[in-house]
Amino acid sequence: MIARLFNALGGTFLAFFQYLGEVAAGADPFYTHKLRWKLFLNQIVEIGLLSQLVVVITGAFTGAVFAAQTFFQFNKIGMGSATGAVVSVAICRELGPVLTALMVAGRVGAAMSAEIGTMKVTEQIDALRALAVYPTDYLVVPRALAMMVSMPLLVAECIAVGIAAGYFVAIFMLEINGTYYMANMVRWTRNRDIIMGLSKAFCFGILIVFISCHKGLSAREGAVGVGRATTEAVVNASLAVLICNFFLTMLLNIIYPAGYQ
Amino acid sequence: MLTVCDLMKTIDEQEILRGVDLEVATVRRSAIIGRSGGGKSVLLKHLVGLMQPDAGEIWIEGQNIIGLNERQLGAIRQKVGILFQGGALFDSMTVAENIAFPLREAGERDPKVLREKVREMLEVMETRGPGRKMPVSLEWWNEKARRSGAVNHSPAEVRAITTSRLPVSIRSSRTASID
Repeated sequence: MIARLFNALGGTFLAFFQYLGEVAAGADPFYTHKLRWKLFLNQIVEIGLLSQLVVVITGAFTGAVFAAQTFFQFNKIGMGSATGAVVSVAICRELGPVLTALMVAGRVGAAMSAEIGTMKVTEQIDALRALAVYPTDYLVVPRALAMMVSMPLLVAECIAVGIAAGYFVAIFMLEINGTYYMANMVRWTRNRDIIMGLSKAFCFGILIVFISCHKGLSAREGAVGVGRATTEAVVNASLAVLICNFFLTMLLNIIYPAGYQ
Repeated sequence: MLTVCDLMKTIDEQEILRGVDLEVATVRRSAIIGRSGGGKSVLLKHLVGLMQPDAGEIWIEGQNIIGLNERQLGAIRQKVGILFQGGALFDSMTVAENIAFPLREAGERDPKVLREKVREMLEVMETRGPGRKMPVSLEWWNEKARRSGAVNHSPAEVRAITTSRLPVSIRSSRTASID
């Protein structure tokens, strides 16, 4: 029983690391300028362009509700005008990258896993291999590169929209003094907060794409297997984002310490 | 020349291949016949390295392909045309794009040349018509195949032999779509 459990766990880890090795080898065309540009640009559209609406809505309503909640608490102790600083720093450092990553894991990760999983169970992956095309080169590398480009841009957009929505709610609905709000926000939000958010976005993007593609490539047993792979891809990618976020926060806080220094 | 020696494969504790020996000479047409689930497709997948056996050897043109990595197998696979049971056409591409795919991967980039070659392939194989269709809209093709019993070559077959001068061509269940 225990041997079986270790066998299963070991097999899973070995398969994942073997797959990462193949991806690393598959990144070779990027350096030799043999990148599949058409596939890469298609993925930029799929991941970056078509995720705009989801990311904008997520950013806007998170910024708005966070501004409102912060104001309700801070106003009790006469610090209502500090709302802007809290909203801005929190969205840059945590809410922007994490919520965007979760939305992208749900939208893009599921699509990737389902598409590749369907290709696997209909023997299209075998057909690629039979035509001497490596599935990791053809399917994973363009998606990974597109994600590395798109994710930081999506997070930047989420941060900008979140801050704008927070400002709108604070100034026009909660009637905070706009001058103080802006002054505090600009004073406490540093470049390093934005860099931290974008660094996290890059890491989360890599996690989502590798987990989703891996789940798709290891799909088995027809439609049921594709469904299972898609569910596992979204769940695992979301959990990986949340767990990784804690460790990234601790690490990046050493490099980019928070606060007015 | 294709030689298989004492091939063994077990999947999920079920023995699929037990000591298979096979020798296929050049310029020869051979068929493997057996009951459904008997391991024919598994054997064919082994012949191009899509599956790795538990034991045994497979020699293609004097080279043992067992133990080769994916990239080394790429060179072997370029010598072999394989037609999968369900066709395995890429469903994100049109039929014409599917047929052009091996040529594009072989380095041909000129759209005019590709178009011309695809047209030639479809004509030679008497498979005119479905070029612009997506593979999922080819039910009519299977229907035609079912009714007539013997029809023109399917787009998947055309794609399988698109790369020039293949020494080995493998077809899994040629009649799967017309039974």
